Amino acid sequence: MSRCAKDDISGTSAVSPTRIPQGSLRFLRPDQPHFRLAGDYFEALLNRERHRATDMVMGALDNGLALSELYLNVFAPVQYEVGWLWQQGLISVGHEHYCTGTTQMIMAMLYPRLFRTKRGTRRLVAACVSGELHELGLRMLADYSVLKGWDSDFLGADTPVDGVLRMLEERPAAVLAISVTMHYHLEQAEDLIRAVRTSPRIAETIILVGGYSVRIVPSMWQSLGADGTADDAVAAMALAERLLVEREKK
Amino acid sequence: MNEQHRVGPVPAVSDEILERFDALCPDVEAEVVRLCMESDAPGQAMGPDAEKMLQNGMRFVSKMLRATMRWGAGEMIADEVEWGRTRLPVYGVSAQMVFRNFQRYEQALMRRLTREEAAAIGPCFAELLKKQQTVVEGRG
Repeated sequence: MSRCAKDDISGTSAVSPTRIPQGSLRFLRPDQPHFRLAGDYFEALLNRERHRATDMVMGALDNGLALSELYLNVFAPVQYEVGWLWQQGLISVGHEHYCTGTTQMIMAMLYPRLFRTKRGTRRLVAACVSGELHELGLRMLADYSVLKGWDSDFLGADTPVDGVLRMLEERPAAVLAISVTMHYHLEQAEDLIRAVRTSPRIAETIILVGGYSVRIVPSMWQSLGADGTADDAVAAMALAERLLVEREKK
Repeated sequence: MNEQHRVGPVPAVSDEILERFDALCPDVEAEVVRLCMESDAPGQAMGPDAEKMLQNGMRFVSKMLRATMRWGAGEMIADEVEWGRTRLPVYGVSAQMVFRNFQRYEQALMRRLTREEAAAIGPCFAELLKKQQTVVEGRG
């Protein structure tokens, strides 16, 4: 279906609890791969049709859609769009949480498929800094790393420095991925990176930072003392692989 | 980073001045809220929780300003002003009210700072007010 095309999303409002004015969408674009599925999924979330959303995702996967495509071309743009609708006051915060919760629920249902991939030897630890509650993007990265043959430990939102250090020291990782959405949490990222760098057993861990706040300021990853940044999970894993190769050459 | 995030330079400020800023924030925020409640009748558009919403808003402003000054990253100001342009009307807060409150914030803060501290923090407020002015004028 194409009911979610940018110019006719308002046509779905007959069944939607919210009227979505024309021109209100930013992230769902017809030129993107799997746009129709993304549109259907978006509509199901807006209509609070959790079962339909689940069925269409499972159906698409059964028909050959790759998990990575689902994450990058459906979940990611839809969640950005949901956040944008909230920002404009077109959906309530409760509705936004419902949409995010539904996506997280479906992601959890996908783990049996995710873990069919061969478990790799390289490990990624993923954590949001202390106070940071926006974890979905980082969770997508952790899952995507599994698809790329890595093993990952996703520590989730609001993880204190000591908690991250302990996890790394108990089981060292090649890469630590840190996510920061709110600008005022950047100092916590700096604290975490400094703590890793000064802990002898884990000081060599490759550290990637990402998230909205890092993306806004192009040089922020350097200011924080990280080894790099990336805009999405694909770019992050490509960077991680490259940095690892470079390190192994030294 | 997109075009909306382009701003003039905002130099990072020292840890000492940031500490001073942190210490002054509660009084500054309270003064802004008081002046806004006295002069702008915000309850008409924001409803009965206007004072609490303004307190939360000023706390957010302080955290945003601190991050901007800590990192010397004017992009953050532009980003937050842009966020406010779309989000704050949802709460009944006009661009003009935001601008007036930024002016009140600057005046309340500068009055409490030494000349040296004010000179360090000044560029951040200059950018903040300039950026919000573009929103008021419909150019943001």
